[in-house]
Amino acid sequence: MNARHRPNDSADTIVGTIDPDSGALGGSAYATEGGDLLVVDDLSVGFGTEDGIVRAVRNVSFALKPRQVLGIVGESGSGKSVSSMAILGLLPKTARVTGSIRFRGEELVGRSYNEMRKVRGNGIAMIFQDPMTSLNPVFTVGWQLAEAYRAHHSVSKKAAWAKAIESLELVGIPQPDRRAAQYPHEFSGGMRQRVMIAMAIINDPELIIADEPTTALDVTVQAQILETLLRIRDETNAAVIMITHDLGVVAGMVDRVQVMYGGTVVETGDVHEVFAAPRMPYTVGLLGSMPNPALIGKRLTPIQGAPPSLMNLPSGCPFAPRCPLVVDVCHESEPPLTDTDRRDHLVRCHRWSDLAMIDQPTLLFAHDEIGVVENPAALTVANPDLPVAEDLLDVERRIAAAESTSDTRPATSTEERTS
Amino acid sequence: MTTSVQTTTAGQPSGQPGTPPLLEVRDLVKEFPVRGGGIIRRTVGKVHAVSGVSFDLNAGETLGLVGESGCGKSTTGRALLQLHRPTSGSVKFEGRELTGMTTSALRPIRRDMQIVFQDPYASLNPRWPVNDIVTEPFKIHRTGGSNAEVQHRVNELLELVGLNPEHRNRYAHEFSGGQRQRIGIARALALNPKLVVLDEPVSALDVSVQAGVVNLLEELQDRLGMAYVFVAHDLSVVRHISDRVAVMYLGKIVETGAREDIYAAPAHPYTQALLSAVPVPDPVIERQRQRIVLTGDVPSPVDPPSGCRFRTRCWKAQDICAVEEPKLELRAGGRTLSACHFADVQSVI
Repeated sequence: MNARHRPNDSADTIVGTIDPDSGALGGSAYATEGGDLLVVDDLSVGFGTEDGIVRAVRNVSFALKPRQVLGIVGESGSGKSVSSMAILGLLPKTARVTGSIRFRGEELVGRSYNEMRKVRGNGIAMIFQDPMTSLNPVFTVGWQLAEAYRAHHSVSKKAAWAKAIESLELVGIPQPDRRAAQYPHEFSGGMRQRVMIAMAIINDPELIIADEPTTALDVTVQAQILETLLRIRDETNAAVIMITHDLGVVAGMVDRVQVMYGGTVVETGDVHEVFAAPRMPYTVGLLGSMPNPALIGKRLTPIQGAPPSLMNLPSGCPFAPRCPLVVDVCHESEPPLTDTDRRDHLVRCHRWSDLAMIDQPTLLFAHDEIGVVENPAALTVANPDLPVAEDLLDVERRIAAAESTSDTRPATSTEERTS
Repeated sequence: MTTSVQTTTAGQPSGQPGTPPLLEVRDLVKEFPVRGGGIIRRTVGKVHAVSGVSFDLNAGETLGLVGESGCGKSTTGRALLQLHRPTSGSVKFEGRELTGMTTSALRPIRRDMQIVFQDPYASLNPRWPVNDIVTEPFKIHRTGGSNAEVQHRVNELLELVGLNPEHRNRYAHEFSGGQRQRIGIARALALNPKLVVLDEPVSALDVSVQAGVVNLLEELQDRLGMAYVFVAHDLSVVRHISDRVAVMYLGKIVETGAREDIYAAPAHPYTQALLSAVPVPDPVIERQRQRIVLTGDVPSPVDPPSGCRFRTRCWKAQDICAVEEPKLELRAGGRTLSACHFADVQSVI
């Protein structure tokens, strides 16, 4: 086990809420992994295209215990979905997967399609983002659930139907016997997502991967679904990998968080740790981008620029072109995932110790969208000397109009700045 | 410092007396017909998308319209601009009644009312370079002076929204989602509007990009002083940007008030449930919160519940809720206008 890999002994303390008895569920099959249900070691995924190789996932390592909830956070194109697809063996044949994925101690990388089918659904189940495209519109919900059960169990159709109704009940669908005979279009978005969860748990998997399970849902429905997922976790003792871009969902749901950027893990640790003391500028930027009650009347502090193309990654740290703390070494070499001053908290950053000294790290990202640099640390402003179209935009009329009404408005940052 | 305090008290609460608000909306109703499947396609029902919405908006102010999908917030935003002609009710812009106006009579007024759409991929013509997209408003309204003047202005608009004017000959697909949304904003600002309806302008964007666009919108408003109607389902973004907030449920405003009051002292059970459902990006707070989890889904707007429309999901519902529709008014102990017979201020964050 290399230095990049999270040491297992400290992980025990993180998931301290776990009932020690539940360890029995793990069985002896993967006792060799020190109680880890899933071990991903140095996983890389590349896609060959006409224009070159897209390096979607690079050197990702993590481990997961039974009942543990791991949150993978990142923006579009950070590699979070591809790494979970690799675990399930759902990547297209053009994908080049290297490294190791061990589930219950068994290697998954390089398995044949048929061998993977035995694990999929049975050992590892997936909940997809869009339930409408994941359910077949021409079969009843009960039929589809029973089919999923019969794929792994040789039972009668009647027994499978009973099992389908049972799992619908488990995810909180009212009148499950009647609803099982209905088609997906007769379900609302939230109810469909419950059906997806029912399908994921029908074969009693030990690991559930939920890929943006609530992104398409309204907040009140999202709250229902997240509550259902946690209850299911408690009832089935399954581990959960929660892939999301919503830091609020992560804050409430997960034990451990892993932040991905440019196809690799840039920060990982206990969720309280990472939110309270981020040690990677990208995580700081993400936290500063979230509207937060504490920031009312102030500007948000988003990250400048755009994420890198996975086909053409910058040399050195992938975040360097957008980083306010960038120094020469960042452009020259990509930092390894290293320990920080905090326990069991690893980052991929040359300057984490400098970041740790800063009081309000989110202010590093402060800048004006229109073009005046507020903070010299934000070096990446496109053109600080931008002239502004004041004359043509008829500013006097606007200011006059604004003054007549600004009295009723709460203090904006402009007023704060001038006062 | 003292002078600013004086003006603050003088200007309260809704602009200067005598000046009408920029926008006055009264009992706005928008219904869409539901047609049957036969050849004649006769109307078999109505979708009650917006059912009697009233509010005022002052110049330079931001009103956040929040609610879940299907609550009528986007339809309201579009009905303000007469993009959907309201079924009944009144929309007055600078004192002029817009409903019933002919399209040609509306056109000069449309210079002052613009919209930014949700989907930055669908709202920009893929066959046009950005330059043409931002020039189009000047062509439609035959304004902006000579070609050279318009070109100068387009460059400035692009700079204003943080884009490089040298990229003006590129097509929309060459830009990222956040940049496209900035193009949409530049187009909306081209004619110095007094009102911009922002229809979910940041919900299709990644978090870090979203924050940049939110900042841009705030900075543009500080500088140019236009009023915003900010339509969104994301309560944390609305909280960040709005001066006042109106919470919608099934075509009606259930609660409205100043931003701080809506978030700190919500009185309507739906507002409380909505606020408590928003995840907070702080593990300590998030795990201590008492969450109100609503049961069920939003009922169909084709056949909304009688009385209070929220009663089918409300834990406070009693017989009166099915019979009598609660008025949107100031309730005892409340700081906001709320439409609930049993309104009771409760802090949920």
